[in-house]
Amino acid sequence: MNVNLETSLDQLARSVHDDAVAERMTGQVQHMVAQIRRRRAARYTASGLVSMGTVAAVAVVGVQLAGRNATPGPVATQPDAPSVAGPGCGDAGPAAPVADETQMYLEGSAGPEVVAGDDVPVTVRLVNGGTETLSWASAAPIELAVVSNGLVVATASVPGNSGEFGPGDWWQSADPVTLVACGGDTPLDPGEYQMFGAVTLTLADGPRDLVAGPWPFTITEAATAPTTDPAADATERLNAILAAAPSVTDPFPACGSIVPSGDDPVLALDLALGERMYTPGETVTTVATVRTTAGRAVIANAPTAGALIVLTRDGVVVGRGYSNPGDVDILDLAADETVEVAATGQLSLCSIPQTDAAQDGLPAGMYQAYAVMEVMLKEVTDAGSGAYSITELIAVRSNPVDILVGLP
Amino acid sequence: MAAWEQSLQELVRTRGTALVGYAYLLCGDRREAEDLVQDALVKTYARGRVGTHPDNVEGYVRRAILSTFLDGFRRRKRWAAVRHLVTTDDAAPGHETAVGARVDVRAALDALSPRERACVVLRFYDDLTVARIADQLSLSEGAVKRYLSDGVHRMEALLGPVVASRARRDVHGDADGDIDVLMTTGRKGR
Repeated sequence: MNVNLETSLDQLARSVHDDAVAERMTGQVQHMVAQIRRRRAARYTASGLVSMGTVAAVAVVGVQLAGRNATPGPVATQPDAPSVAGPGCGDAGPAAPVADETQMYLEGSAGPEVVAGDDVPVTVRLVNGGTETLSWASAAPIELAVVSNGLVVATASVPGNSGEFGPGDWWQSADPVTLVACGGDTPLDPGEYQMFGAVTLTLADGPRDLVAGPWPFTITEAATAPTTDPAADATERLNAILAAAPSVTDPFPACGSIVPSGDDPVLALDLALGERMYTPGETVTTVATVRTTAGRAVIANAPTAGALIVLTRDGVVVGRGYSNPGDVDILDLAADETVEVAATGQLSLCSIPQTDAAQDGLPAGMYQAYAVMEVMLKEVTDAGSGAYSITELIAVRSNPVDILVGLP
Repeated sequence: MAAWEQSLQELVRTRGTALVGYAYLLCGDRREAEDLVQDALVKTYARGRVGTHPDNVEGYVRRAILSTFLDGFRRRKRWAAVRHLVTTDDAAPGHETAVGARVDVRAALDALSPRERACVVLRFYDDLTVARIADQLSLSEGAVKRYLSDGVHRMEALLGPVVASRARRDVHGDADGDIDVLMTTGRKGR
């Protein structure tokens, strides 16, 4: 008898049909994705830098005088607009474009408020709102024009790349941009401004001009010199974290969370740190060893990035840096097996509400450091008994290690 | 609820079982198949660059399933060796002959190397051309043909003659003339 390969494979694939699969998977995946996205967002907030993909931008679209007080919003394609050299100093500001989110469009934001002399946070995003995949090969900057009183008073650009965009795909650049007043090398004066972005994409069916804006932002007077003592300020923030700990609901190792006790984790980490004086803000990189406990064998998914070192004071997490769980790998440990993983940490205060964003400063003194790694348990074999399947996210932690932080 | 969350729920609700079935053909283990799909969903949605339309996202998820399977196969071998201790095959009951054939095909798939298996699944389940398989696996078309040929021969050694209607159609020159090297049975003139 002949076996029909296609039919047999189809039947085999259907044999795993399970109505409960959606419920079983959605929760876990949603939790992990939310966590990763939250942390990425926190990292972005902390650093002001994001690089999230590739696109191509080519020339700059022509700009035309427009109302200065238009409502900010997504911006549109202007297929008939002539492509010219970028908006130059002294030119009229561009027209407020009409949004068309059914095609490729550009959107963005600036500021909203910066101190004179500081770089201006600018986010530009290209979104394929259409139903077709678009691609272009040439890369060129997205041009920015800053408008005041209807005239361009500063120009800048942010880099673009080349790539392919499926329907719904987007690419974003979020960078602080240095703005210099036209005709000189001085920063923009304090005041109200509007920013426009423009780019021409060379698509298969021809160039497509995108203009976005206005994105209002304010430049304020330079702040007066701080009068507070940085050390006292850091101590105050440390005390605030300790005081808020009882109301923190995010699990360990979130900022302000309490180190668990009395539990029986199936995995543990061994951490050793050199005995020396550490400096506030220092990045510590070492190796931790993962092992199972109580003679168990464990299979789990663990982040390839390894473990995060967090600092605690009085059993409360007070210092930690950003942790990107990223990709995961299979962690497969027999009872007598160990595996080494990278362990990194930043000796800085963390913040509440939980953003994972490291704050400047860390008061001098003794802390307890833990290496922590979030793993997804898959199977556990208890000593002397059978294996059982499990799907549970746990924070594997190390022994506490005293760490002395000195004055910078 | 964010757009990506809606997209995730929709995709898993409407295509979750199909994705697990696809992963199951690749890895041969029900539980591991769910793991593969979960990992692929996390990778796909965490990147945030794939849009939210389920049809669009599913392609990314399938590709992530494939790459995760191929990248992680060596590390999962030990896991696969013990999986049967804790999981049961919850294949739906069906016609006795069909169930028997299914079991045989599953055993035959288990005899293939990961790349042979991936090529066979992509060709005869996903209905991809050799060129597209080569693209998905980052292999040359020649390598894909070799994997397909070796894989099918190995399966035939266990199952007896196999037929594949699409491959036969391809032999006659429309989509994939290269498939004529694949089948030792079910075709003309050989």
